[in-house]
Amino acid sequence: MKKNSFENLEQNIYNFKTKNGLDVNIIPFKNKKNYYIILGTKYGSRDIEFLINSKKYKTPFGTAHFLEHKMFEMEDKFDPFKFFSESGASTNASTTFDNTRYYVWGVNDLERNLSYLLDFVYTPYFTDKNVEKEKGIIKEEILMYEDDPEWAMDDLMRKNLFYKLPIREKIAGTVESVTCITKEDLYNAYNTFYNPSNMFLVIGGNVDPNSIENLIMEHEKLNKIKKIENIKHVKYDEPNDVKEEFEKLYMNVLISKLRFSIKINKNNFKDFSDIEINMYMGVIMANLFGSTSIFKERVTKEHLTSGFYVEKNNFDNFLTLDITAESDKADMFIDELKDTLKNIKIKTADLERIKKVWIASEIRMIDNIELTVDNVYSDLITYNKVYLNRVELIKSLNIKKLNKFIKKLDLTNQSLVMVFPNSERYL
Amino acid sequence: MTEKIIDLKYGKLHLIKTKKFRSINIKVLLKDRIVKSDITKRNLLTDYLVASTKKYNTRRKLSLKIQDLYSLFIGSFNTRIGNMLVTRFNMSLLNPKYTEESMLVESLDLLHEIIFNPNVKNNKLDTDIFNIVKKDLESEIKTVKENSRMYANVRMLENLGDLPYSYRGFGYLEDLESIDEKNLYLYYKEFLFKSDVDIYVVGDFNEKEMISLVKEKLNFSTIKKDKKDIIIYHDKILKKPKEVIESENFNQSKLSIGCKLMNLNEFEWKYVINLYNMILGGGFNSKFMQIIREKNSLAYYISSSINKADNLLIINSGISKENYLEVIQNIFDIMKKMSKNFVSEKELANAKIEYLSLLEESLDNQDNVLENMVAKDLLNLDELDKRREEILKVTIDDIKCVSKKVFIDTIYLLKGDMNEEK
Repeated sequence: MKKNSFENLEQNIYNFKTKNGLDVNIIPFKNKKNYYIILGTKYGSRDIEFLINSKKYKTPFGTAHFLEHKMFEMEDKFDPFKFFSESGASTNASTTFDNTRYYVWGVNDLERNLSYLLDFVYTPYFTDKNVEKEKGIIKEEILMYEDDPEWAMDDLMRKNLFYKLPIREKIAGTVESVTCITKEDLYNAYNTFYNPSNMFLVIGGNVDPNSIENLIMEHEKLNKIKKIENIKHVKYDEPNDVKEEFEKLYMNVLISKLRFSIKINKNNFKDFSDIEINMYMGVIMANLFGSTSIFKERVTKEHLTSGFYVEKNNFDNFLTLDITAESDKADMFIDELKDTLKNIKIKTADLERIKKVWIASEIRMIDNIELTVDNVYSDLITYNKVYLNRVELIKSLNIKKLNKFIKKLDLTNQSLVMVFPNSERYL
Repeated sequence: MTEKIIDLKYGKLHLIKTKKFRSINIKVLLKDRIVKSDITKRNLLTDYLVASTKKYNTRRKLSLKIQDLYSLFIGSFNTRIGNMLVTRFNMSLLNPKYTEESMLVESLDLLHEIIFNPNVKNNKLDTDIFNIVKKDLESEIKTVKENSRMYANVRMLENLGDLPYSYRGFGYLEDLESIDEKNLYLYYKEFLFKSDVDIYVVGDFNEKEMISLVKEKLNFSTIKKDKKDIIIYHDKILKKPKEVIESENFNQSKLSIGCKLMNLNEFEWKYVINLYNMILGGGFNSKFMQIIREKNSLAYYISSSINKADNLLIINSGISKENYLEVIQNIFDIMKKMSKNFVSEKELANAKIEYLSLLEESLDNQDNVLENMVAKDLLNLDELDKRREEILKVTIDDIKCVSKKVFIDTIYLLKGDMNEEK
């Protein structure tokens, strides 16, 4: 077990790997009562095709999410929710495009609950009957998200940005695709992606790292699993341009909404590491659209929007820049947006101020167990390593490299989705 | 972590010293009796105050200042608690030992500027900023309908009665229309003068320095007033629950049920009802979850919650409209059985553990530490240590007994009629 620390933040972190490859990270917090644990796999909605002994398998869209639901079912009818709630702890799980995570949080009996988390995630139990029963619940979940205009724009935008990447489809799949899922699909996916060598465990709380290490090293179910080498995620040959540039929807909204996205190929930035790409992109977003941006001042003053937010997302070797807004003057808002994206120039003083804000947020983060665990886990999923020197990384951002980044930034692949009120459908 | 209370001219300063956090949080509370027609005004005013100040007279200038103070967090929001409208100004700054020594004074200067030096010229608010904030609030009020779960609750409460619980927290479009830069400024002056003030601070700080800084920077001129009656009591029950069904263009139907709590004694109100709620629908492994969601697959989600200040228990569920009657029947059955031998000792023990865990968990979050204190002071709840002891005294008989004091009053269904001929 290796001991490290988050640089400049007075916080330790321990790391080791089990024989079968589970990457374990322990963050001991003094002074706190809570704990937060994530056990996750690099398996998300995008992984619909995969190889087992060089034989190719294809599963319906939504299998990863379906599998997540079914993991909570145990052969002895015992219910994990019930188990954790006995000691006042809670559990939940979520599936995204590139990972599935199971998390437990509470204040009592950390070791008992950690051990059980490993038990239940390493005990698959799928039957034809319990798979059939789940379909109704998942169908309801899919319908619920369809009512939400922002989810709907998000789903449509990915379809329009990408030609081939499976993240085009909804994480939960469609009512039709879910109907086709079988227990064999679930076992095939499980036996591949839930191998410990494809998984990460992050534990934050008031713990003794050595006793956690012992618990994991001696955990029967976990250690029985044999390591699979080289789990391969299928790569897709995705073009740089967008599939559709525009589409509109009519929904139950009163004010129109829009999502404007830009598709950026990260391979353009050869001299930048993945984290640097994300950080410099973040600087640009904060500068162009943040709370101190001229853009924000202008669009609010001219009432071009009643609210907007900007995000970035990583999908394989692509980065998307996504702007979501509510606006009844959408055309003017978009003109302003496109204008802002032309001739990006950032001053040194502005870069320095952004760095100050980010450093502050790193210090705040470490006060929050959940956020800290979450960030460590996200680093592992996104970069395959934990960046403990984030404060230093932020400090090292400089104007010369920023300008170089801006020069290579291609913002021409754009797409727009708009949602209009149902009442305008027949106008 | 103990609370120290200092009397100020205008109210109380509550200091909670702890080394647990790397930030210092300050909360300024202004409370007065809720008047329906004030809600919109108050929302608009507090949004306006944190959007700019006299010295930082545009949003951008204020944001630049905030970022210079190591991205200080500063915000305002209003909530109704029973019969009261409570305005909070929240500030959170990194402990100066991680930044620069002058940051505490500079941050409090900004809080002072926000509360006491609004962006005003010739006795009226700045028109540009006013219009932005007004427009934002307008859209907030309008979009309440888009969140079907929230909207179902709003409509249920409006059907439940006409006491303050039925007021819409965002405010009303009718009221918004008549507000302008002049009358809102007049309202500001009235608001500052008539509200009760409480200030809460949590973090690692020098006590003497903090007290003198608060006295200097947050010098309110209000007069201390008597405690007002915050809690809402019900005196009527319906023989048969009221049923209201409305349709909207959604896929999933939302169910919201309001139950009145009546004649609870102090122990029941403080403790038993929390455990009752946890077992019924509040906990992860509640009766509702076990029976309605897991066993009968009738709902995507179903939960219940308690609002002590309103004396209400509210049930929320997302369902398919075909299942409506069956879900209602299930809920009725479960609630009826709660007075029989239906809850096991183990379930009660689990609920106690869940209650205690939530309590401990909340103490690791700086804002929750403050909010716990606020709730305790407003609702006259017990100290944490006493709560830890008292909750263990609740028995199965207590649960049975309190279940007879929960009365289903209003059943509201927001029916999703997507893909249907009208």
